[in-house]
This record gives sequence, structure tokens and C-alpha cells, in this order.
Amino acid sequence: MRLVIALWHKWLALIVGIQLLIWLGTGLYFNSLMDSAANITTRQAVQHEAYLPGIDLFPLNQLQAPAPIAAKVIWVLGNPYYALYYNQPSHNYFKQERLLFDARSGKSWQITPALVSRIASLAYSGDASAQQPRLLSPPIEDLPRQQNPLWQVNFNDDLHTSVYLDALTGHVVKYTNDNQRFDDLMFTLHFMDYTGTGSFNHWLIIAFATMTAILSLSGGYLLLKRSVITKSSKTGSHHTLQVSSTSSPEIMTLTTPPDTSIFNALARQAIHLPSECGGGGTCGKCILRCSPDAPVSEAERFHLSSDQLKAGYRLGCQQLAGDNKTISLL
Amino acid sequence: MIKTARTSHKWLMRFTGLQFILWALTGLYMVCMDIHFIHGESLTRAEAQTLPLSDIRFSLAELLQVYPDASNIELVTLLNQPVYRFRSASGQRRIHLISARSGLPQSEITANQASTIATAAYTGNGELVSVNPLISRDARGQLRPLWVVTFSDAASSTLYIEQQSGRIIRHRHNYWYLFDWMWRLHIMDYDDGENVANPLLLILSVAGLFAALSGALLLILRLTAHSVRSTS
Repeated sequence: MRLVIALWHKWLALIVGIQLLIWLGTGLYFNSLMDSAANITTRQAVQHEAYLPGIDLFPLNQLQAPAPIAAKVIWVLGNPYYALYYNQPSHNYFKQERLLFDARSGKSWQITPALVSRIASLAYSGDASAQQPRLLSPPIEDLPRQQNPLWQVNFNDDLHTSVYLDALTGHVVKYTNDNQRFDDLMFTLHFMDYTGTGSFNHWLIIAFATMTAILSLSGGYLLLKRSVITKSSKTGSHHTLQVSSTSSPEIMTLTTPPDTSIFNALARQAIHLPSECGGGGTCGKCILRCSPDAPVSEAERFHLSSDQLKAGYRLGCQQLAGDNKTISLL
Repeated sequence: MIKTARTSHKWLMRFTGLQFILWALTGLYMVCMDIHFIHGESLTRAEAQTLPLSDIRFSLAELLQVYPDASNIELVTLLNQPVYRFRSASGQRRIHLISARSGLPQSEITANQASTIATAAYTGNGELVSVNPLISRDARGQLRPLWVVTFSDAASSTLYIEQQSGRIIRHRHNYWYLFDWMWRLHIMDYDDGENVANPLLLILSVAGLFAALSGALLLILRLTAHSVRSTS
């Protein structure tokens, strides 16, 4: 059981390992390095609203438009407009169905590039010049969740500030710059959003999160199991072990706490048994020869044949020093 | 080398392992549950009653004569009639409802009206259980009286209706509360879940990063040990 879990633990770690380090690294970034409030310092509120009474308004009930769900009086640079809504998306970045009318003339209206330029400049407090507005259709690279077309106005500053404005009204929807783009990249990495969905509910991250859950639970299981095997003695009583070797005629005497594994007791004497797992009972490499009546662990039964067990072959990491009097290194 | 990697992986994981399990399990819940479902967006229907513009018999110009300081003016269907909904600066930005048919001011939403609004919008299959008043504060810190309408479905779906406007301003169900707790456990901020930059998370993230790196080292050593052996 433990060996199967250890095997799973190893292979799952191989699959999710790099992403796990990315999660920890980006998580640490969100925790202590990210300061999203300070990302964009050239942001500036634009005053659109003006005083409505006194303006000769076109009657709403005479608009040439299909019946909407809702209507709003909105402002663009001091001028009133009627916005008619034909859907109610729960987020503004969802597809919006709207019509816009000049509230004075009742005529259909849409922002012009020249006005977009003006609003973008008013919305930007830096000194850099602005480029021409461009009307972008989704997908928009900086804003992966956005499903509506937006105007993009880029500023020639060091941080490559971009202001995104509503395609119909010219209201500022979003600012971004290289600081913000770096934070966005960290989120992309944390959410594994490598296909640019703008979301963390996708199959890739669900698959990795499932594997990581199994990885961490299997790790917890192994930690509990191994704590039992390798706990070190605090009693101070000592056990003497005779160590012989097939490659040399000398016999060494080793004094060690009885509940230390032979693997660890030998390692303390700078005798390193072959091992890939470092004494975890999973690789089966630290074979040595004990007395044939030495206890047999689950790991030994897995890695050694019954003939080997009968002949006294055991794993150094599975044998407690106290259970053995003489051992022989191969 | 491999022994050091093993020992540090073991000891660092003794310290951070439980949080690793919590990160993995809470993360798994959060990525599996569609965030729009968690927000309760599916609790109310997306389609809404249309508003025939010819129904407007009380014009905007007439409204402005009575409320010259009206701002954020919108026209919506509320309880089967078109109403103007707006804020007035003189009324401490309170929200007004004026019938677009008669021009008469509408009183604040009653408990009965709130249950009508909630039941009409609700998409689930539960029955209405209770309508209770609640005073909360809006983003500007102003007092905002609400009606809390609860349904009898398995997720205890609850809609919060603003008394001044009749708007459904909050959707809650058990999955949301569970998500909220998953989030708190994930970022290790147990009081309100608002502070990602907390020192506890910093300590565990740094220790966790070392724990994972020692594990990565262990993995590399084990895998390369394999390849050395198989080529020799």
C-alpha cells in the first residue's frame, strides 16, 4: 500500500511539480510584492455629467427604437444621451446589447474617434502623447474576458499605458500598463490560463488541481507512515551491531540507538548504502544480509523474492538496529 | 545529498504539509465551481420584461421640473409598471422611484412587493421561505435597508432586495459561503478573507516554497539515479 502510494507520489510530483512551484512563487508574489493600487499612477477621472434641466430633451416615447429592457440617461463630455438596453449581463465584460441616441435630437449616436482621443487625454494625467484610437474587437490581448469591442488609446510613455474605452459611449472601461500587465501575467500563471480564457474554471487547472490534491494527500500519508519508522531514540540506551562486509575481512562494531534504521545508523558512520529514495523504502536498493529470522516489512516483501528473504536479505532502511545483532554488507 | 533532500523535504513538510493539503483541496473546489454559479448569477433569470417606450406618459422633462437635481436617471420595469429610478443630490443621494405612467412617487418596496420581485426573478425550484428586513451599508457607507428573501431549495438560495430601488443587489447560496471559506483557508486570512498580504501566508509560502524545492531536488536525484543505472 505505502509503496504504491510512494510511487504515485513520485510520478504525480513529476507531472505537477513545475506548476506547483509556479503556484507557490506567484502566490508569494500576490502576498508580498504585488501592489495593484500603485500600478497606474496616470489615471484621472473624467467629468462627463452636466446639468440636465434647461436642456431641450427629445421625448423618450418618440424614439425610433424597439422596446428595451431598460433605458438610462448617460453623459459624454457634458452632452446627454439615451442608452437603451436589450440585455442585462451580470458583468459589463459580457456581451452587451445597447442602442445609443442623442438626447437632444433623438438621432442614433455613436462616439467618434476624435472624441475618443479627447476623453482618453482627459483620463490620463501623464505628459506623454497619445496615439490614434483604434477600435478593437474581442479577443483583446490585454483584457481576455472582454466580449465587447473597445477603443484602445496607447500613450507613448515608458510603461506603455493603454486606455480602453467603451465602443459606443467612449467611457473609460480599463487602464493598463506594463506594471499591470506583469500582474496579469502572474495571474495567468497562477490560474494556468495559458489559452487566454480570462477564467480559472477550465479543464487544465481542474486536472492539475486534482493531481495536486492527490499528491499532497499521498504526501501526508507517507509522512505519517514514515514518522513511525524513522523516529529517533531519546532513551539513550545503545545497541551494538556487528557489521561485516563481503569485500573486506574486517568486522566493524557499531553502537547505535536500537530504534534507528540500519540505513541511518550506517550513514552516520559514513557508510552509504545504495539508495535512490534516501531511505524511504521505495527504491529497494539498500539490500544487505541479516539473520534469516529478522522481521520482514511490507517493503521488503515487495522488493525481495521469497528466496532472498529466506536467505536473510533485507533492506537497510526497513530494519531497526535493535532487531539485529550481525549484518553483512554486500 | 539525497539524504539531505529527503530530510529537509520531510521536516519542511511536517511544518507546511497540512497547509499544502488545504491549498490543494480549496484550490480544487474553487476551480471546479464555476465562478458565475458561485456568484449566484444563475439564481435569477437573465431575460427581463420589455418596456414599451409608448407607455411613458410622464416625460423626463416633467420629472426634471419636480426633481431638477436628479442624477443617474434610469427607466425600468418594476412590479409591472415603468418607473423612473434616480438619485437626488438634495435627498442625500437617496434613490427615488417615480411612475413613468402617472408621475406619482412610489413608496419604498414592501415585504410583499419584495417577495413578488424575488419570486418572479428566481429560477430555482424552492418555495419562498421568509422575507426579513436587514440594514446594511452601500459602497459609500450610506445606510441601505434591504429585504432578505430566502428560498427552500437545497442551497438555501437568498436574494437581497434594496428597499429604496427594488433592485436585487446580492445573490447568496450555500455554495457561495463554502467558496468564501475555501478562499479564506486558501489565503490563510480567517477573519474576513480580505487580506492576501498577511504575514501568516508569507511564512507558509516561503517555507512551502522550500519544502517543494527540496521535493523537486529529491525527485531529480531519484530520476537521474535511475538513468545512470540504466545506462551503465
